[in-house]
Amino acid sequence: MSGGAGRGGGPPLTDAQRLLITSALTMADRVARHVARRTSGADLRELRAVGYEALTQAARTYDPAKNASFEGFAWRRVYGAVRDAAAALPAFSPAGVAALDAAEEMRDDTGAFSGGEAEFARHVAESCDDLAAGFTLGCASGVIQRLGEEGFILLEERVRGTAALRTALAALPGDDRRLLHLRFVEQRPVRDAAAALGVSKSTFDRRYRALRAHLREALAAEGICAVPGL
Amino acid sequence: MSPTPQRGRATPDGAASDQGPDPLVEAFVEQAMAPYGACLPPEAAAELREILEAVLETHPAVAPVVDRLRRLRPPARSGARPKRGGGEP
Repeated sequence: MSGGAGRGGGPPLTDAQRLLITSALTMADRVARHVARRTSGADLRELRAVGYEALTQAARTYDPAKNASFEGFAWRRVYGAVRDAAAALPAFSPAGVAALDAAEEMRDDTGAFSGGEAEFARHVAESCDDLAAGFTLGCASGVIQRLGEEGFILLEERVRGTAALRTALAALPGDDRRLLHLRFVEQRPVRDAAAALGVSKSTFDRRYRALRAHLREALAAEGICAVPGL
Repeated sequence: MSPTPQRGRATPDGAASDQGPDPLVEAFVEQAMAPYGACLPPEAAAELREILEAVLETHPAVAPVVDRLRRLRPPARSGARPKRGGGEP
């Protein structure tokens, strides 16, 4: 990559911009190799060139007063450009785009003289968890997104409720799980579900009500109330 | 054309190789996705996995820390997998 005018034209780079580019060349190279590994028939040299071009553009447009660190700012643009160049990969959903935007703000808070392995693992795990939670929230309904902080709480409750329900279901006898599967998952009419289990409709209804009551109690014991469908 | 994932085990400096998925990256991905798997349709889960892998392997605030962790931990023996659940990767 030349230190002068970019491949797409534009004024010569300043010394500060050249320094920014130099500091992020390794990142751009990693991104190119990462995307190349995921894409059949990708030309690594071409992806590298796209990455370097995006890095140059990032250095030209970076504004420390408006943007977070240059590293995150540049990563977002280099990764987006290189991935777009690997045309085989599908476009990201709005939730994916939002997650990448959030990743732009990530910082390494471990420090040069940090506590070592445990702190490194904590930093990586928390970074990933923030991304996963944000992405999942982005996939949830627009209502939850608009709720902001309250939406996060709702999502947390949903995740906790799902885990508790799984535990409660796993503790049930196989026949009971089958009954619930027929109604909840397969959504069969009561008559069909009863026939599949070889019991009368009234017996099915009685067991179904008792099971729902049992699950409500089990979830309430975990502090989870008002589960839809129970 | 559909994507053809060709993930490789990372070398200590994050360079690609073709020895299969990097167990450390895989473990962090699994841990991050575990609470949300039941909430996401398969295509969304695949997208989240791709983003997490990209961040773990290339993001300047995360990938170097993963590299440091990799250097601190002895490589797993052939066929060995990291323990799941109850602890950090």
